Amino acid sequence: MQDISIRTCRFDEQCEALRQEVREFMAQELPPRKKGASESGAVLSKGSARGVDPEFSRKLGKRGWIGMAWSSQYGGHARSPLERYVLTEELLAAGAPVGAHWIADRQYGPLLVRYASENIKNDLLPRIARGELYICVGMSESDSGSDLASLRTRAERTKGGWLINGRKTWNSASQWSHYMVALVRTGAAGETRHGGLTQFLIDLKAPGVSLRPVRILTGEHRWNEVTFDDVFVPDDHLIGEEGKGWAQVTTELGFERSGPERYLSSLYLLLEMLDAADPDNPRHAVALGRLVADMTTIRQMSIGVAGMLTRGENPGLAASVVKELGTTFEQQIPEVAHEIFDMDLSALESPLEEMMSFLVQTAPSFSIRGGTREILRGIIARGLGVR
Amino acid sequence: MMSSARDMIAESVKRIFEERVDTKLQRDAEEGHWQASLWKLVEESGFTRVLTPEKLGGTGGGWTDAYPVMHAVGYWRVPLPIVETMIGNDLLARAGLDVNDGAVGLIQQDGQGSLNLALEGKQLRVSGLAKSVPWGRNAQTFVLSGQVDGRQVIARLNPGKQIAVHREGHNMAKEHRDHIRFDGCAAEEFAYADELLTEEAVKTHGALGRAIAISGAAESALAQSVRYSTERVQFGRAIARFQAIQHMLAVFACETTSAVVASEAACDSMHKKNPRNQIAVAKIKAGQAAGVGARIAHQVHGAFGMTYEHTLHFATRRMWAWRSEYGSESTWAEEIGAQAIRRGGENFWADVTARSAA
Ligand SMILES: Cc1cc2nc3c(=O)[nH]c(=O)nc-3n(C[C@H](O)[C@H](O)[C@H](O)COP(=O)(O)OP(=O)(O)OC[C@H]3O[C@@H](n4cnc5c(N)ncnc54)[C@H](O)[C@@H]3O)c2cc1C
Repeated sequence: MQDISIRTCRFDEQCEALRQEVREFMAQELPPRKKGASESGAVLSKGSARGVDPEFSRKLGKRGWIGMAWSSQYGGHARSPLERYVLTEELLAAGAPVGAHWIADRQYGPLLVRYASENIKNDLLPRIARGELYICVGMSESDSGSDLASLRTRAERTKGGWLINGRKTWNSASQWSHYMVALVRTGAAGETRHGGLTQFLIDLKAPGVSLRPVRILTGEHRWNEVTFDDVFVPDDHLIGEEGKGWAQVTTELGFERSGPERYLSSLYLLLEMLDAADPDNPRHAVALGRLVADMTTIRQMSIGVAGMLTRGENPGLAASVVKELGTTFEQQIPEVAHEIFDMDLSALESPLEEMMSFLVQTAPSFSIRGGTREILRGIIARGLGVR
Repeated sequence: MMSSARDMIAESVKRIFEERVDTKLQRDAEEGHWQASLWKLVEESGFTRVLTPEKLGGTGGGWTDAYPVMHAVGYWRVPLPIVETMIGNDLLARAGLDVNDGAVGLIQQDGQGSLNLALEGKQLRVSGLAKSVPWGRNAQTFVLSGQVDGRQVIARLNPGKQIAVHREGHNMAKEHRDHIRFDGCAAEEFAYADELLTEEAVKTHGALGRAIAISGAAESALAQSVRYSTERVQFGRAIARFQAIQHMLAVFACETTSAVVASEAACDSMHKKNPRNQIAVAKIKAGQAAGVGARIAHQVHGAFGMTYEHTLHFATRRMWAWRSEYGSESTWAEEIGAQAIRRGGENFWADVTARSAA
């Protein structure tokens, strides 16, 4: 049985100073949420890293708030994972539109720092840190979801590089992205089924790449299906080692399962609920008190994992625990709202109703994206030694 | 104290309880017998005085040092009032009163029953019935928190003529819970403690003690369930091979981790200004882990786990008993929920983040 323990930690003065800085910045950028004021469409993206605004991304870049934790050699700022944590939670809590640079900042900057050639690092990393260059995730295919290793998009050697053929799907924010980091097959799977997979950095403007929009159930265009038809990728765009893509991807996923985005997606609904509730109504108080307890604890766990990262420990299992608890909590919030308030969700006249209607429809995805609930429980069970 | 002191405490409680607390001892205790020699060892090892200042013969530790002892009481299912005595001694010392040897009976004035506290000159007199006092019949000292003339007091009372065991009872885990009658008994010592302590000192500290011990018991029940699932064979394979069992255990692990983290965070906040909210969070999360965890532990163990012969129930009955002592999940949730609603959406995030600042 592996140790799942998470030691909580506290933020030091430097982190708290940064928190104030971010709050002041956000107060100017986005008017803070006002009780009872309807904010129409703007409110819907709040807390979920969904809003996309390249101009805002560039402003963050100017402040040094993208690529915070990488070395300054590549445009980063060499700050600690705990500082990055504070920045991220404050941006999400303020409803900042971080969707454009989100993935490049969170997972592909660090991937490139670790594995890319000097050439690529010098070219791309400073642009990511300036908030100008965006990258999307290219893992899933229509026939390969949880069973990612079964994927069929292939790369074959050609002079000076590789030719890619196949199709990725559910690629979030890809219509705004310059590159995709795609996991593709370059060789035989072997006995573990995890061999023969390689990560490539693919320019989405390259000849042979085409995007087809996929609308989600609310009608929004959030995803694309991305097809590769003999797309040429130069040699130095192979990231890491040929055939080692599986290990690279699992590290990438493991480390990003426990961030504040894992429990803040429904924060704005919770705030609306606190404003709408009656403190003397025990039904309201008990239900909201439980949510406060959940949120407080999940946040402490999530910070604990960030602390482990700061100390160079591998939080793999703890990160899965945080994601499982965080997504369950986020999904619970609209259920509780439905339970304690009598809302007719047809008129959508208040921010509460607006948020509610939006979250009820998007909450199911919380336990699908980034590894489904069932897959995470499997990972936790393996850590317990029963798999 | 440094964290290494905490580790040393954890080591020594484990060494003693692992060796001494076996099924025979647990069964003997459940038949009503006081475990005198284990108690002597616990006191001699200083466990009941971890929170007591060095000048009063204690270790001078804080709640983060007390955590491993209280956790071990749950993990090893120790049938003695160790948590209560640690808390009682802590309250006495913080109120500036003497600390004696012996088991402490913790009493809260505003708990179940009705106790009347009255000042008579310089004496504090206590009368009425205190219900379900943990290990009341075994107590050599009673520590009481309550209110007199709108001020918070901590009082120490010694068993004597005016204190009687009114009814012997026990909780689900067969831990003694006795009704104690006070007949105008004068407190040995008392002190006003408005500045020093949170309101309802016994209830808040008791809630944290129970949350920590539940975390320990839940870790024990989880470990037993994991082990059992790899040993029990049905349909030709260990039941651990079934995904339904794996997922139940994963959920159990998540709940247990929550209880542990929330309890540790509460310990960490005990030297801060208002730890009451974090204690509430800990008791809510531990209570939830107790309910979910005990259900899953029993589901995994099947009929064997339902027998007295099996040892699982020493953990699960404690989890159920302890979650309902010193305030249930909904009691505490109502308090922090009403408070958060009064503070409103605009203050919520600032309040949440203020709690994690050093
Ligand atoms: C909001 C959102 C954004 C996304 N963004 C991206 C993106 O940017 N890039 C990208 O590549 N992908 C993205 N995805 C895709 C995501 O990674 C996949 O949806 C996910 O991996 C699950 O795959 P699937 O949808 O094919 O479901 P399936 O794998 O088909 O699963 C269907 C159901 O079967 C269950 N199941 C599958 N295998 C097992 C098993 N072994 N045991 C028990 N149950 C099992 C699953 O848990 C699930 O409940 C996104 C998804 C969402 C919802």
